[in-house]
Amino acid sequence: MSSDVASPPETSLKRTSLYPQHAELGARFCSFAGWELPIYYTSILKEHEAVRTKAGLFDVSHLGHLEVSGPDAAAQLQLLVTQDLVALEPGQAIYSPMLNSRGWIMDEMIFYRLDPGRFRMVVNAANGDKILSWLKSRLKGGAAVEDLREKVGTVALQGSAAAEIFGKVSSLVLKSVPRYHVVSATVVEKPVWIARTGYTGEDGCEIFAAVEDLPAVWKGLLRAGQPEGIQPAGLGARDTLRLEAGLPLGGSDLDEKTTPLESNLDWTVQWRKGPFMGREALERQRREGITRKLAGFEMKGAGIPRPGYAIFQGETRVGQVTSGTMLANNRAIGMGYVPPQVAKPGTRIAIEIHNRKVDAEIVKLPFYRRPKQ
Amino acid sequence: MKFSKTHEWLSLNSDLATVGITQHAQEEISDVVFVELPKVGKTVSQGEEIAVVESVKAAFSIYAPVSGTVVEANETLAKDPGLINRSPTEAGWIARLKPKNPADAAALMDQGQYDAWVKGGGH
Repeated sequence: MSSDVASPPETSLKRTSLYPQHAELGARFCSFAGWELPIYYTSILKEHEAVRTKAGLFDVSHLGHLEVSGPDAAAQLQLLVTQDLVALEPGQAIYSPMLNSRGWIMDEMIFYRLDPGRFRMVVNAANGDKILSWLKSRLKGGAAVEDLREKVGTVALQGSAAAEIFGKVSSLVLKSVPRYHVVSATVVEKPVWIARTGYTGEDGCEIFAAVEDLPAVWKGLLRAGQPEGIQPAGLGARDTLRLEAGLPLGGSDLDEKTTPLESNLDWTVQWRKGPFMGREALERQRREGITRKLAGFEMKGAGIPRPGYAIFQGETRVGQVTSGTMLANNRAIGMGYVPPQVAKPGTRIAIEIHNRKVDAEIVKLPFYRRPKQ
Repeated sequence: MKFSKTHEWLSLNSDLATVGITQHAQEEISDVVFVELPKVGKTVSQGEEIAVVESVKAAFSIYAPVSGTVVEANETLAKDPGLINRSPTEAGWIARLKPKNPADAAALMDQGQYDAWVKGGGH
């Protein structure tokens, strides 16, 4: 057997403060963006299922925490992102791409307005250095960036049982905090920020804690969630969950050659807010039209789409797969870039899998939507 | 039962060779969700790809431990690919070959040699 996809951990990788817990739980590790992280503990499918039906706990401490503060923080950040950060209320959070002057996505992140003059940003692990130096070069007096990556870690508690489990380790009622909001609280008596965000398509929260407090938070939640069937969940399930929820992954579905208009992130572009980096390029693209668009598809024939596979319409190669997997329900799903006229739900395409063209159909994203409670 | 360095097993019974992946390989691959089976009648050379076993994360090529002709593929795996995880060396077999030269199998490892190979981190 051999595979060109799965790679064993390399040496000199960074480890999160939860590494001993992962090892104790029997995690299988992988390397991701310079970090040695659990890919799964028991099985990707089981962990995926646990998050969809009960709850899962993820160590996502590889995500980079940066903080921009100062009286002029909102106004200056406003010029660097597509979303309207000035309109963001303290206690609110918002997802936004950060573009370069060509309108290409340097990174996408969530901004949490902790105080009127204080924005926490959580950025992709691979892009932390780049975004930090970008901010340093762009911010002027009245706003400064602080690198919290060595100090702050994150665990994500996700699933329909998340609120119930959370209630056992904190006096905060999770459901009293609306989605895309952030509050300070204590969990197992440790000071934390509770963010009502996630990357799985389920209810839950992300917990920001000092790296030295994170093991207590992690252990407390796993213990508290035992009756509900909580599972520690690795990067493997995180990836299949986010794909099923139709959420793009930076570095796979999004990169520095992609604009928000091509990647279904039109909704993050606040045209009415005034100038921002990349705006002119985006306006030009809006005028001229996009030539490719990120679309979801489902396999009709037998096979699993993987990143890099070619997408065909008839005999013509029209695009490339950027994400793909097969889920326990035998649904093989993926995302990829195709011309806009191909990107319409119902369009028949084929994916070239091991030198065979296998039938697939463009479908509306997301593949999964959590049932209303 | 004989073993290859690429973690396939081969079991010779009269003039038929049954092929699958080892317990170690199934653990490495983890959740098998799809198996691309070989076509009956296909001829393969030793070391050539005979099947593809796919997990949630990745596709793994499975190589023919000996040269020969495929006479049967385990169609049960099409409906139940997880059988490879549950029973890699029995119900989860992948294909049966008619070896071109059954003596090819002599070059493969026995159980003790294979276990030592895996223990030594062999891959």
